Amino acid sequence: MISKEMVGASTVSIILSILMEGEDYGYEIIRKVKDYSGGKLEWSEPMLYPVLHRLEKNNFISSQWRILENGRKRKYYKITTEGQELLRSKKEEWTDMILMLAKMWNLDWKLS
Amino acid sequence: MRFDLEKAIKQWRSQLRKFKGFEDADIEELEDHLRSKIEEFNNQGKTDQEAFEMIISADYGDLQKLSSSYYQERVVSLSPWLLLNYLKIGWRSIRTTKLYFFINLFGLVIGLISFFYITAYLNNELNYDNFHENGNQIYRVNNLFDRASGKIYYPLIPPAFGPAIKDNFSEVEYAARMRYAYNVLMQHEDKSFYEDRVFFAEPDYLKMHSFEWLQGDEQSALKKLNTIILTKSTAVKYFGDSNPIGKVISYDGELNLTVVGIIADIPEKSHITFDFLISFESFKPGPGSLEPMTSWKWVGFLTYIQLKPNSNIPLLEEKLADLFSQNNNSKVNKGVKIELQSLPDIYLTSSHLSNPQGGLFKTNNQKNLVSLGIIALLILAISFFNYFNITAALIRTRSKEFGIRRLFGSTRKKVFTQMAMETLLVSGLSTMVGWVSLFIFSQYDLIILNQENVTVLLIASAIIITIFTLLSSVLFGGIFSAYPIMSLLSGKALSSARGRFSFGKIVLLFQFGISASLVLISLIVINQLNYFSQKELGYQSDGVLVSKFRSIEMHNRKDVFSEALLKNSAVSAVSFGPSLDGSSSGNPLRLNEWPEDEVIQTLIVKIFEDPDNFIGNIACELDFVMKRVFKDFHYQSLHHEIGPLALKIWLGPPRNVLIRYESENIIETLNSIENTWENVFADNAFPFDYQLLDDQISAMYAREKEFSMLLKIFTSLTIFIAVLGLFGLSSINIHQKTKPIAIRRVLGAEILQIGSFVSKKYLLIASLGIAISLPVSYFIAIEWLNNYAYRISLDGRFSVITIAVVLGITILTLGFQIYKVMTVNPAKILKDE
Repeated sequence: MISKEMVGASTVSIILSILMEGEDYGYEIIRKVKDYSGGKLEWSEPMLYPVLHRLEKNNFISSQWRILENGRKRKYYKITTEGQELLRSKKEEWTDMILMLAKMWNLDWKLS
Repeated sequence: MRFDLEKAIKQWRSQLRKFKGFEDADIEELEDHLRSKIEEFNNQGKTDQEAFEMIISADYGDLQKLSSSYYQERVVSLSPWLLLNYLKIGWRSIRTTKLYFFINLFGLVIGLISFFYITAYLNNELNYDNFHENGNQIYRVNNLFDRASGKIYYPLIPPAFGPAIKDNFSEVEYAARMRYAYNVLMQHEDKSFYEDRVFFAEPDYLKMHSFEWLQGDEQSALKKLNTIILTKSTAVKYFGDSNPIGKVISYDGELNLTVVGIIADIPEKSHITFDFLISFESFKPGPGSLEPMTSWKWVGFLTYIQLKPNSNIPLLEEKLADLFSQNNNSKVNKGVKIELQSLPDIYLTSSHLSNPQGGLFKTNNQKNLVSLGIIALLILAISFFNYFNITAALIRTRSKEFGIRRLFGSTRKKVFTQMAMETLLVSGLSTMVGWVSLFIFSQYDLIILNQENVTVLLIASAIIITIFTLLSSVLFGGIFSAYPIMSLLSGKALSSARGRFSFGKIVLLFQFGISASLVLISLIVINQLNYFSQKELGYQSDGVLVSKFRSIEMHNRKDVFSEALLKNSAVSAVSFGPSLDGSSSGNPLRLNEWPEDEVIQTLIVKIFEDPDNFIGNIACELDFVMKRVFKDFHYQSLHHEIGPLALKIWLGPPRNVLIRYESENIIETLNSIENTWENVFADNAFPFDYQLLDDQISAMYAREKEFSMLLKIFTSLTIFIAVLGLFGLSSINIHQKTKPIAIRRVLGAEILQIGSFVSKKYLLIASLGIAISLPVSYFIAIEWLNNYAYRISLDGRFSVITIAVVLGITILTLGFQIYKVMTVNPAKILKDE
């Protein structure tokens, strides 16, 4: 299990990374995170939404309501160019961090 | 019992709603999440109930925490950036409806300016005499007489009464008598001016009041014979930059007064204003006066007293009345009352008192001020109603916009915010325009913007904008959140909301009512004032000039002067008399003691040829021979009824000359009278100075004129705002009815049928509004007319004119709209659809 602190620090990067694959809605984002982490990362699910709302408000992602065939409404989120910019800088931070730790622990990692 | 998923979700939703963190859109999003997860659990073979219970216990254990994290996001969400966005949307919707936006703005600006103006005016009027530290303990002693001729109220008492009050009552701390003087020639070396704001006062007067002392010894002030205190600007007027203390000013060439003190100019908001304060001892009753300073009959002295705190005022008033009656045994008084009038109340509650030449003290009519206050609120209400009505009508065209907003997750609160921002934009803009106009007005002295006024107006602006914004966001936001999205989208929601008694119609009714009411009341006020200026006074006041004699030498040459004047063909009569200052009767024409023949010629008072028929019982303490009987004439202002009056022949030297001139060329006549004056009194130092009797008379009605002018202006503005609103509203409604009108026209309807189709509703509401307001306004008008002893009779013509004006303006406005519709080719409209 991954600690709370780590989850908190990585949430924004993770959400933005997933949205880079294409627009998505909350539940699906959570499912994808589970897949990627092999079940090791678990979010308190409803807590995802305030984070999404904050990102949207700061213009890093945008949203749109769609009406599904069965009549239900669903909100889809999409990354904006500002969001892509933010992700780029987050990626650099994470890379530096991982490379540093890898060096310290003598792990031989190659980043593709 | 079977598990019902829908019911469970519904309960869950309503549970979430109890937390302020979740908005409708948040709940919808979470619901989608919940349903997706349940579906996944179902696929894994779990029942709805199992899935639901598992999810709820895992994810929604701590709703409070979840809600607060949502709430935090939302609080930040009302960021300036977002509000700016609302303003932007508001601006866009304004741009699409420019005409109505300007109608709204214009109406609000006029409403606000009127409100500001009246508020500033009232703020000035309501704060008189509050600069005296002990103001609440200071009282003016008034004498109220009940006589056969009616009740007469004076702000004056006899000269012996004041000292007696101070000696006999322990609760009286200070008491000061004052005597006024008008038209006094003050002289110092080459500087000489006629002065009106001159008072004699006892030392206690300065002790109880808080006038600002600038120079000289305050302790000994007003104590020595022939000493005088000046206000700062008066000192500069006579002495320039040099030290005025110790210098001498001559008073009408009779007294030489030494300047012993300088005080700051009397504040504007003081009921009594003076430039000169002379020690009371220096006052001597004029030549020919029948009463000494120990008199209990000469009701001619202002008297102010300061009482110890918590004194029993009604009891003291009774004791004072007893004291008065013991010393004054006049048979003409059926009853005597003493009124102690609190200093801060004097300005607004003195309309019952006579005020010689309107100059003894400043006063305003409380009723008129209250009416102006009500008008201010009505104008503000009308301009808000306009805004409401026009915006409500426009909003019907925006129901789709709001439907789409709701569809895309806009919440009730966001609709409120949107409406609030739009109103804020309009009301903020109009307040700004209002303030700019205020500053422009103040540049032309049309309004006084002192610090107090600005504070009051700033607070008023803030309150108005707040109420305005809240009210319209609740009213309009409420409209949109109350309807289902689909009915908003189809545009049906709002058209069905306008029922038989919709709020909009009531607002319109109210507007018509107020307009009609103001028209009627203004008509009556204007008529009453015209009646004043046209009423037969019983003598001819026009063509009479009044001037003052100031020295014994002048008195001695009065016959020479009279003869010389009568040689001029433009002068038809001359008469001389005692003081025009008026001691007790509150009128410019103090005729009580004038020689009769000359007066008859100068003033053209009518007489009865056979006076013997009028001999009856006249209560009088001296024996007089009756020579003539005059027909009734108005020797006082028309506020008062004509009472019994006897004219005594004046024995002392004359103080005034009345000259009747009959000429088209007034300037030439005045010049020739001045020449005569200078020839006859060549060696005297008194320049020719005059007043027209008509001017003195009209000064008595200055307050009424001011009130009537304000009433006329604000009634016109109110009607203008109401017409503006009607214009906007009918224009929107007719625009929305373009299609039905076009169909009717194609089917052969005439202009009258179209007219009645379009305007029936408005005319009905207008008529109802007028019908309701007329009785109310008549009631108010009667109340106002009761101020006057002589008043116009109220008849049906006022209602007829009011109905004609209000309906006429309504029909004109609607007619213009109908004309616009009729000039468009109906085929074109139908083709466009």
